Amino acid sequence: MNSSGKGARVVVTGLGPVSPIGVGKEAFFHALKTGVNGTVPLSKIDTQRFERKYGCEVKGTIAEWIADFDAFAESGTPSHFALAATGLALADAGIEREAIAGKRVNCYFGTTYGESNLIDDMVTAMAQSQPGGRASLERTFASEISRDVARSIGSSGEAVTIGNACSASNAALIFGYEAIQAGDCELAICGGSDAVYKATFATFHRLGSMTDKDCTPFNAGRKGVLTSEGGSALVLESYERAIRRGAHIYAEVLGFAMNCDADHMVRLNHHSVGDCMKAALANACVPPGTVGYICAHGTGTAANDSNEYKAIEAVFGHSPPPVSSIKSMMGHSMGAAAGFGAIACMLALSEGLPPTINVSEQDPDIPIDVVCEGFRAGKVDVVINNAFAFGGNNSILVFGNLK
Amino acid sequence: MSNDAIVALAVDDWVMLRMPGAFEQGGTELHHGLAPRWDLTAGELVPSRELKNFDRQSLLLLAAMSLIEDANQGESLARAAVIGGTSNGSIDTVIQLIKESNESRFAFQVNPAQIPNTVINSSVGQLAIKYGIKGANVSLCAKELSFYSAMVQGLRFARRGDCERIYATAMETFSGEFGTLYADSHGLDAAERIDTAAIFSFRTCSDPQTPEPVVRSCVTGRLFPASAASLGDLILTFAAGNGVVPERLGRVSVSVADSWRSALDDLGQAFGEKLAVLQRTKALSLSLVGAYQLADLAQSVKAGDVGVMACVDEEGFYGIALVGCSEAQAGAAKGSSDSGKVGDV
Amino acid sequence: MTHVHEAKIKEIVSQVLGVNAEEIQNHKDFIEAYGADSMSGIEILAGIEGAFQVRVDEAYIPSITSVDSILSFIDKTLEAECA
Repeated sequence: MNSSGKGARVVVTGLGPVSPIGVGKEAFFHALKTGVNGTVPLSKIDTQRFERKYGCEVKGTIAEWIADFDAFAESGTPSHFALAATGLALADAGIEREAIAGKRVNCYFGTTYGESNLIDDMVTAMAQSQPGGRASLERTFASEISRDVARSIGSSGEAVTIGNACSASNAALIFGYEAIQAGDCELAICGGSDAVYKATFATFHRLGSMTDKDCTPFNAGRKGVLTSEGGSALVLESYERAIRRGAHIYAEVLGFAMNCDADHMVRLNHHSVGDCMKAALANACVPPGTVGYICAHGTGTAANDSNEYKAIEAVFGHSPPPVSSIKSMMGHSMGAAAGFGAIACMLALSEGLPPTINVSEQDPDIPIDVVCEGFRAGKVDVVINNAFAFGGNNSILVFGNLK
Repeated sequence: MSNDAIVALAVDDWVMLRMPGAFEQGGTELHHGLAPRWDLTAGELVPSRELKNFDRQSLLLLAAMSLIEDANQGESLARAAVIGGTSNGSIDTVIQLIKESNESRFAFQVNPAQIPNTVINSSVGQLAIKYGIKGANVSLCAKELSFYSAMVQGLRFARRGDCERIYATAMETFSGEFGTLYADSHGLDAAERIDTAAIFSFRTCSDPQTPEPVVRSCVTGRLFPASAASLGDLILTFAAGNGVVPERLGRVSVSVADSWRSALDDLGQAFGEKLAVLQRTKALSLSLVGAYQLADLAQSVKAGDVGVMACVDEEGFYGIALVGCSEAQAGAAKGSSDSGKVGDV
Repeated sequence: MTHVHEAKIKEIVSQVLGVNAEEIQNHKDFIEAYGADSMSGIEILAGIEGAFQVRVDEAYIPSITSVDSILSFIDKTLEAECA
């Protein structure tokens, strides 16, 4: 599918997942295919004064995945996740850092809460009347997530952190796609990052939107999200540059749409979501019937999954493509979530469809194929990556195998 | 709108609302010279029953928007995009939530009415709801370059042809806990730390003869080496890349880090009286920097003039934009690139 | 006891929904009669926790539909807390 009327073609050439179910493409894909349940008792926040105890956490020491960690030791955990994800994505793309140092490589990272652990530390310090100096304050800005990545790779390009909550990393991918199309750069690192955080945990519990142990999207009686964390990064590259250097191409970015429900700060509007999906398909010049898979937003709340289904039905009628939610396995990583969905889309385009785990009894009011029997071997050629957020911000991407 | 047209952002209206204290005591608006005030409990901005669901930042943004006069309504308003620059979102509301969590009997006993205000994109979300604005809605965090990034994205949205109107916003609340720490750390005194919200109403435009100030091109990136000399080169290269010779520049607005203020002699020599160095307080106003500069150019760039605004920090992270409306621009910046070719891979 | 509960509950509902406490009728549905939305139940629950210094499980959110519905579970909740 050629988007020749829209500027340069853009392809995905590198994947960098730093996730609770696997770090690096091989481990992440393996976890998705195996249907790993990433739920653990949380250790990165003190759950003693919380009733809920479970979530998903990235395992291991983040420093080992960041070559120049010492230069970023004081940065927030979300910066570290983004740095690690970027390193993995560049390595996966076969791009040497020396080859891009000083070049215009735009860095777009989405987040919900920014440098959360530093903000939490700042509040603790405020309570002790020791607010910390200018340097520690400067490190709390959300801009630092994308700037740390830019610093790390020595980019002369744009570095922007997008605070679009749970759809932010799709917005990051869209920004990278458009930047390459417009000729502003030939390479972009796009993704998202958020860390397990007291505020997230408190928020979703207070909203009655958090499950107690397992996340069960599309299941009857589902109880909500599992809070999670991680860093997701994808390398987007101009098609010409990728071909010139003989890069492995995962997929082409076919199109996207962004809109705003302008309805309610928290509750999804399925009409608006449906409009966004239709607009994404139109932008990609993809007829609905050719879509082989939808990587759902699928948070596992009663409202999200019902509304997402209604939106899917409005777009695809009675024969929608298979759908699954990887949040069933790795929880809701907030600003990084859509990026993980995009990476999972690359699995769908190459090998087969990741499952929705924990489906014991599918909600009878959601009569769609949720791929609950386990990994479904057999690649598809066109996929949609859904992401919706507080504030009504919807961002949806369409990817396809190269034609 | 054809992809081949040179699409730019015409400034239909702009507002910079400075609110030193309570809304009832009022503030000042820098464009129209107003001194507006709102009785919040009487429901003059939002229904009083909903006040508990808004925080200071979202109310400030709504107040600013209420002052915009751009004749944008109906379908065009519904399809508009909103791009919000912010340094850290509603950080004070986040701080408050964390404190509640720390101090309550149970750590999840936080005020649910304020929960929607704890995500970075909350204020522009509230704006979209109140005005029914359903186009793309993004919140950008790039410190002093946030508004520049908003203009970059605005130009891309405009060239995509999905919307005829784009609202670019910037907002900081220095009166809050975080803002106070920030202002203290930079030695800003009380009179200089006023909560401010800026909104620019852009109309996508491909008419080179339009009388309004027009943002034609904008790029952000990082300079190597980071120096005042590099800044001068950046301005000239960027202008040249957009077909503008130095003589055509009517105004050059620059915002620089403290440590560079004494190193601008060469720039002064290159641009003389056209050079406007942004006053320190404004240069430290985070996402508002670009808004102040665009406001300055919008007020000083005359028909036939071209202005450049640039912001660079000590690390060399920069933003630069071309503003003007002249026939010299019409034939110059052809092609799909919006970069002025300041650097390539 | 119940009389005190009712007055406090009406005060909480009044603050959350922006309706005068005297005008709230016990049987009226919050959404239909007083313009409540999906967040209102959560805010009322938080208000009850604060006013009564109790813990109200989020599972009760769907039951927060009118003053009567709150009264029907609040006694059980308070007894459990005091036990």
